[in-house]
Amino acid sequence: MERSLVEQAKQGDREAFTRLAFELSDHLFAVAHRILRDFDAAGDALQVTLLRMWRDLPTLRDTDRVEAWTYRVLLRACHDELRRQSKLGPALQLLEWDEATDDPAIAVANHDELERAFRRLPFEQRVVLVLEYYRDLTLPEIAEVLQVPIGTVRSRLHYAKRALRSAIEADARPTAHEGHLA
Amino acid sequence: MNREADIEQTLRRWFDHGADQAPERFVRAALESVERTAQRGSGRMPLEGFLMKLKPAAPFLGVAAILVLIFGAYQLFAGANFGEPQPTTTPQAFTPADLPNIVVTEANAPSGIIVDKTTAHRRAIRASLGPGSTLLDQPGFVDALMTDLNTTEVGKEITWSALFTDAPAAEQAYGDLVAELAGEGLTHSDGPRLGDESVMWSGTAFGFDRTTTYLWRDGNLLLAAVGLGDHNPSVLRALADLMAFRTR
Repeated sequence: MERSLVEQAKQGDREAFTRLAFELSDHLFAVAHRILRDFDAAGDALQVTLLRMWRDLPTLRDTDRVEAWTYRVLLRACHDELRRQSKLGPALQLLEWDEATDDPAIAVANHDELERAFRRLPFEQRVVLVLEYYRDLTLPEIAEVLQVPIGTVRSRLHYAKRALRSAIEADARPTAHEGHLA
Repeated sequence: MNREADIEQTLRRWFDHGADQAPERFVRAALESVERTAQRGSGRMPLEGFLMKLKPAAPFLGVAAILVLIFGAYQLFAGANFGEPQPTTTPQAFTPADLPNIVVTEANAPSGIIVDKTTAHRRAIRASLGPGSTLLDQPGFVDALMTDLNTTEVGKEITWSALFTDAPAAEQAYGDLVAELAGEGLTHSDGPRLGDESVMWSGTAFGFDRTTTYLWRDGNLLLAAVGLGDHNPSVLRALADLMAFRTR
C-alpha cells in the first residue's frame, strides 16, 4: 500500500483516497468473499470497509501499521455483515465453483462438504483460516491484525481445523437411513 | 500425507478458487458515500470547543440566574405590599418558531456537522418512531422537527424535538414515549440531567447493533439526540448538550 496515498487521504484528500480504494478493493473483496462465502455480502462488506477507512483514517496514528488496521476494519465489516445475515435467516447461497471443477485435486463432493463445514465455523475461526491459508500471513502478523496473543491465534487455528475435519468426516459418513437403503 | 497436512493443502486449494476482483459497482458506491461523509475529527473539535466555551461561562450564567431570582422576588414582594396584585406569570412556553433554533439544522449546525436530511411536522414523528407511535395520537401535539446528521451506510446521529400545547401534554407524551422505548429492551440509565426530566438508553434496537438515545423534556418540548449504528458517542453527547443549551 502506497504510504504517500495513505498520508494524503488521512489529510482529507478524496482523490488520493479514490486511488487507494481502487488499489485495495480487489484484495479486500477477495478476503471478504472467502470469509463470508457470499458475493453480495462481500461487496457490502467492501463498501462499508472503504467508507469506514475514509472516515477513520485521521485516527490512524502509525501509517506503517496501515495494513493491519485495514484488515481490522475489513474484519469488523465482515463480522457486522455476518451478524446481519444471521438475523435475516440462513441465506445459504452456495458459491459457484465453476473453476473448481477443473481442479481434479478437490472433488466436487469435497467442495460441498468444505463449504458446509466452513459455514458452520464461528467467525473468529473463519478469519484465522483465511488469513493463514489464503493470505499466508504469519502467526505474529495474524496476532497483530486481531490484536490477540499468538497463542490465541494458534489455538483458534487448531480448533478451526479440527472442526473442519470432523465436519467433513461426518458429512462423508453415510447416515443410518442411507445405510439402510443401501 | 498426514491428516493435518491434508486439510491444510485442501484449504489452500479451496481458497485459491473464488472471486479475486471486486466489481466496480461496489467501489463506486462506496466512493459516492465517501463524497458525502466527513472524516472523523472534523466535526468533533468544533463541538468540543463549543462546550469548552460553555464551561467558563457557567459562573456568569449562575450570577445571571441569581439576579433574575432577586428581581423576581422583588417584583413579588413589591406586588404583595405596595401595589395592585400582579397577574401570576407562567413559564414561557416554546412555540413552533423555536424548533429550528433548537434542533441542529443546516442553518445552525456547528462546523463539521453535516445535516443530511430534515423532516418536519407529523412526518418527523412518523419517521422517528414509526407509524404506530402513540405520540401521533397525543391531543396536545403541535409540531416536530428532526434532522439526520453525519449519515453513513452504517450509522448516523439524529436530533429531534416535538412541541406540545403545554407542559402537562408534553409530560404525558414523555411518559408514553419512555414506556414505548422501554419495550425495545434497551439498557436504561439516568444519564446526564437535561431539562425537567431526562433518560438515556443504549443497546441494540431499531435494526442497529449499537444505539444511544438521550431523551428529555423541557416545559412543553420533548427533545432527543439519538445515535444509530456507527456513531460517535462524544459527538452525540455534545449535540444533546448543545440542544439543551439552546432551550435556555
